[in-house]
Amino acid sequence: MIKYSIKRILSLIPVIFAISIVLFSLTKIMPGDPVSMMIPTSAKPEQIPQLREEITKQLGLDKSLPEQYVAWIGNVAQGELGFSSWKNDDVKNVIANPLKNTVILNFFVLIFSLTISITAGIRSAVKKNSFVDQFWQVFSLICMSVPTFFIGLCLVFVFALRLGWLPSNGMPVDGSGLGEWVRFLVLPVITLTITSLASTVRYVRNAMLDALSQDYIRTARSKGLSEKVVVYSHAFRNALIPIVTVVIAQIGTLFGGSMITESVFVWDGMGSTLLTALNRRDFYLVIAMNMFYAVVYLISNFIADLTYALVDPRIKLD
Amino acid sequence: MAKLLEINNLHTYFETKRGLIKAVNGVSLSIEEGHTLGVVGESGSGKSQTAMSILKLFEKNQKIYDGEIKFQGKVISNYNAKEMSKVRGNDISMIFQEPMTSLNPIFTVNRQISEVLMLHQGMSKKEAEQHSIEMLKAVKIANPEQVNKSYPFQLSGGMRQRVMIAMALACKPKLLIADEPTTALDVTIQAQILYLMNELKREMGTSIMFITHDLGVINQMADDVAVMYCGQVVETAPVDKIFQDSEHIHPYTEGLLTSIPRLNTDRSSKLEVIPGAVPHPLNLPKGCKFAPRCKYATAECRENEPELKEVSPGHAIRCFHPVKRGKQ
Repeated sequence: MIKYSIKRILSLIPVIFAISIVLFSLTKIMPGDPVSMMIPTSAKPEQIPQLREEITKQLGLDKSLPEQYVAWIGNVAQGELGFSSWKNDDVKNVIANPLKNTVILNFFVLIFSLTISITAGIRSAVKKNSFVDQFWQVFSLICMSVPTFFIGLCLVFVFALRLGWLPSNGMPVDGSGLGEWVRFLVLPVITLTITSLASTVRYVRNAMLDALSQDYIRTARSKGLSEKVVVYSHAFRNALIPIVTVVIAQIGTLFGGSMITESVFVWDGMGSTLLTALNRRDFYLVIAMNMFYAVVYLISNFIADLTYALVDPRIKLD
Repeated sequence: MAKLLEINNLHTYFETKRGLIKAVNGVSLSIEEGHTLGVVGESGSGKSQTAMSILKLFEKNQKIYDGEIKFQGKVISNYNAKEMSKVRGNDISMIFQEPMTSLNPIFTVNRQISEVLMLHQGMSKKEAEQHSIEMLKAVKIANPEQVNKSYPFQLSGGMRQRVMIAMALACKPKLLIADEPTTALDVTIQAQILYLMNELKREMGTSIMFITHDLGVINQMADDVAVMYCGQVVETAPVDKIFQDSEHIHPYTEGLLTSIPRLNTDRSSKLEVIPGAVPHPLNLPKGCKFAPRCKYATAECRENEPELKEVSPGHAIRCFHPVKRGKQ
């Protein structure tokens, strides 16, 4: 397994290079130009051409595309992700805070959505067609069909505007305590949990139903094992493979964040940062964030493959 | 001889949207200690469901509506789930038709055998592992230590069925229910498994309920035979009586016997078959269930249902007009 891991990690390097070239070129042909955004509004009309030239040079945009790429990738290799034209700061510093906020938000989402979907999915499968099962079926159907922002707005309407229990959006100010964080987290966490629950409950239920209908479950019962052992040990272990796939896919959003929900709740996370970066044509910020997503997805796929091998002895890695 | 298991007038039904399916419809049979009872019948005759009823391995829409099952003098058919799980795998265990899928693919052989031993015999993990290897030796697996550590996908069908047998016999059950254990195996492996089962039965004194549709296997394995049709037992007798020296025989049994292909029959002659098909369980005929396919059926057969009646000691037939031997 160690040999496999090393091989896999080494094979990621050319993939990351390829992605970086594609991303760099795609972001470059994006219409709009960061230079005009950086010219201060106080500048007099006759100063503008000169300013424009200076800023273009300063950003290195006067060079050819391959030259720009080589310069950029060289910096990236040294840990310099570039300069954000929007924040006038290093990309690293610009991303640090949103990344932290997104991870905090999605960490809770992941925990809640997994515990609820696994328990509810197993119960639904064990008591197929019961009230519990039908409740979750209808719930997930509705929540998959309704757009996320609408769920978010409904929650804001009820809990912030009508009842006034929670803030409608925003972030706790610096240095606020745990209670303040919780107050601001509740609504976005619920919104995102509901959306991710909707599909995972179905996955878990179907994986469990499939496992429970297998012959070895009948064997396990014929051995006198209690229903608990049959369901949680014999069936669930077999249902884990499809479940692992969904869970790993969610690790991507743990770091990636959600543009829509973060915008609805004005949460200073990765999703809303990327959205602003795109609007501001903040080239290096956009490309750094997209590269970051790409790497996160590559790594989570790799973790998924390792997990399959741990869960299922029939899968051999070499 | 003492009766180990007695089933009296058992009715096990499935509730479906289209109506009650009477899978087991008044089965009475018994198994004597140390004996093998062969249960034979076509697909859908209720033989597997009778077996499932003994262990109460039911689907959600299935239950016992009437009748009782007595095991060692105790009525086990009204045991609750907890009492039942003490019987399963310990006093009565079961092996199935599909060795390829009956073992859990992600657990080692050791884990699957040890599980029963730790549960019913209170063994420690270490003792259970030792015992598991011994059981694999008992079912004539050549490299028990290695197989014990293997996963099912690393074993062949015959090996897996041996593992199933080892698992079923681990707690030395009084009764082993074998539901077509060799149907999915090729004939040479089948012969080995049957031989093994006979040997273990003699060594351990386990009674066997052997379910099959193959009369040849019955002849080789069973002491007594129960022939089933449409959820009922139509004939029970010691094996010799069925195959050779009974004076009378049920028309269905006669049909089964004559449809066995033989090596010495003329190659140009057609294989005997029983005409027609098993009636649909939702649409059972009035009177004798076999009457529509029976060449001896009379008006009485189509009107009234015969009882299972003893025609000679130990030999009972559910028929108004049992066929006289030699008449065929």
